[in-house]
Amino acid sequence: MRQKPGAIHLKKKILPIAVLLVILTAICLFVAHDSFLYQTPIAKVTAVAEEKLREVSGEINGTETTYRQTATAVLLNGDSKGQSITLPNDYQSSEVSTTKYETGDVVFVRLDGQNNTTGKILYLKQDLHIAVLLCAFLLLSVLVCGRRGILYFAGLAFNSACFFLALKLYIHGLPLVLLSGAAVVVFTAATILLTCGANRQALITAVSALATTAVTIFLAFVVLKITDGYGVRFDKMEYLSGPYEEIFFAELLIGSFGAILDTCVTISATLYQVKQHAPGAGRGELKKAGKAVGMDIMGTMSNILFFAYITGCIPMIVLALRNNVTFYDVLHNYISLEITRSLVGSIGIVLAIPIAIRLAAAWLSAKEAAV
Amino acid sequence: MNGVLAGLLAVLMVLVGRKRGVRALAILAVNIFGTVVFVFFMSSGFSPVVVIGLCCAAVAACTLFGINGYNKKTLSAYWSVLAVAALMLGVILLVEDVTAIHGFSAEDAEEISYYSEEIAFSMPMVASAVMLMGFIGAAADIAMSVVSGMQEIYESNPDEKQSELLKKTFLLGSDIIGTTVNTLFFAYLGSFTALMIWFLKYRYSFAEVLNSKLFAAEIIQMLVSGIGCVLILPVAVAIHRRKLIHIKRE
Repeated sequence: MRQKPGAIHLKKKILPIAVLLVILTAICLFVAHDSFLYQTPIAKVTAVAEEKLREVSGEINGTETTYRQTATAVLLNGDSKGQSITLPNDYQSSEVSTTKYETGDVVFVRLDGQNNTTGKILYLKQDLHIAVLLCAFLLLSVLVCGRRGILYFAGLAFNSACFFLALKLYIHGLPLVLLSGAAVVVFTAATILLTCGANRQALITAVSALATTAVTIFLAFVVLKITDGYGVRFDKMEYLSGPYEEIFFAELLIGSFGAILDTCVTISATLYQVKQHAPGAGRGELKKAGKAVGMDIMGTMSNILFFAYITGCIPMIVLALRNNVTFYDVLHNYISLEITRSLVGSIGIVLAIPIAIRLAAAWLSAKEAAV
Repeated sequence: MNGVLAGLLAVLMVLVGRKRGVRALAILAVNIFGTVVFVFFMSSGFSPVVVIGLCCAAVAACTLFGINGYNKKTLSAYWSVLAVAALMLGVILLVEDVTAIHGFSAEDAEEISYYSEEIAFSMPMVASAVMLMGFIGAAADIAMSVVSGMQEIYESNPDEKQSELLKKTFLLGSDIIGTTVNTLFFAYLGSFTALMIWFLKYRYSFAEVLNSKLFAAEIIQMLVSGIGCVLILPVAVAIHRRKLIHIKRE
């Protein structure tokens, strides 16, 4: 009886998992040898020599050391494939925007010199890293969650593709507000269809998620208009290449939507189960059960968002603080946007609770009245 | 603007959740405030991995015990979060070492141009700490839901076979992971929008996007969080199962 957790899924499914493992290994092996697909020269570092250039004291404390590396590498593609090249590289011990390269790293290079024997390292080749982690995630999802793992993974892949398509259309001139709205409707439909199937419960969940998202974004917009964005440094948004308001609201919409959908799915699934177990349950009882679940998830859900968002700005906070920027300025310049995001997301989560409960309870008891 | 939003959130939480809403609000405030303090403290020259590791342990404790009280269930959830965080820290350090997604990239040049880069503070360690922090909220959420679900399934039929209990828990846990990973996914996707528009606008080729440090950093953060979230399920089940067996013997 001392089964290991996960063994249930493993026992019956050795063959499919073995097949999956073979496919994923093949994908990773292919990506590991895909240099011929690239136009930019790629080289694999075979040896690195390093010397200390200088040592200075850091802005606040500690010492910063600059090193000069001379990497020897072998070209993996192009006409001079197999040729050995020398790549000089300077890096600082903090590695703020410099990188220390190691033997075994595969890098993109820019060749110079007439015989293509020297060059400059551009950046690391990341495709294999992404492929390996993606495959590891997929394999682990299947091992732990079984067939559902594949469904969820398919949902994520489909939604990523839609997201990309929407942005492509935006670049071609369609309004972002419209596109992100449409994207959220597609995300909802795809996610719920894949996980719950096409039924009335799915419809109720979708309607409550969309309604909550709309109300949340509307509230955020009203607050922005009333306060005129006071205290939030929209100009500090990274990689802004257009009007901040439009892009920030698209970000808010998509960012809050996941949490809202999660809340709605959990609540409507609970009410549905309650109704199945106790068909006589009235509207009041359903609401009570929904509230109990809502209270349980409200606290932890808002924490998820905060920690997912805050991580993005920590490197910038560290850089600023280590440059003697004051606490106030750091808070104001680099954290205010992430706080806005997590506050709006949390408002969405809290709003989703009564909206999902009301809609599900109304529908479940209306169905009874009709019978 | 954030003040008004915070006020709005507070009012809504109290209206919807009453007493528990107040509690959830207090925990969120403590977590936000605590994390900011930890990050500032770390920046004065302490090891990021150690400080953020402690911060994550404190946040998980605050979230789990603060919201759901100190009992057998929350204790199981807490140990699972710590176990997975420790395991993931190893994975993260390895991933950071191989992918070197720390620090800033060419696209950030303008933003960081005001600052000296000689900060004598290891950006690789910061990046590792950040990856750990990204999924700690989700880990706590999943662990709690899995453990309470398992307890409920057990209590509804204590004489059921172990394999049935495990099967039901894994089924429930899969749903919890699915929705929570979805939450994280969209949260990351949201903050990813401006960067993707930048890539498209400046006509980066597919190969350039795929291999750029910025894109890789976002995707890898997402995948590492996903892996951590999935790992929580078997670990939480293994830890809480021992407690259930213990209860049975008593």
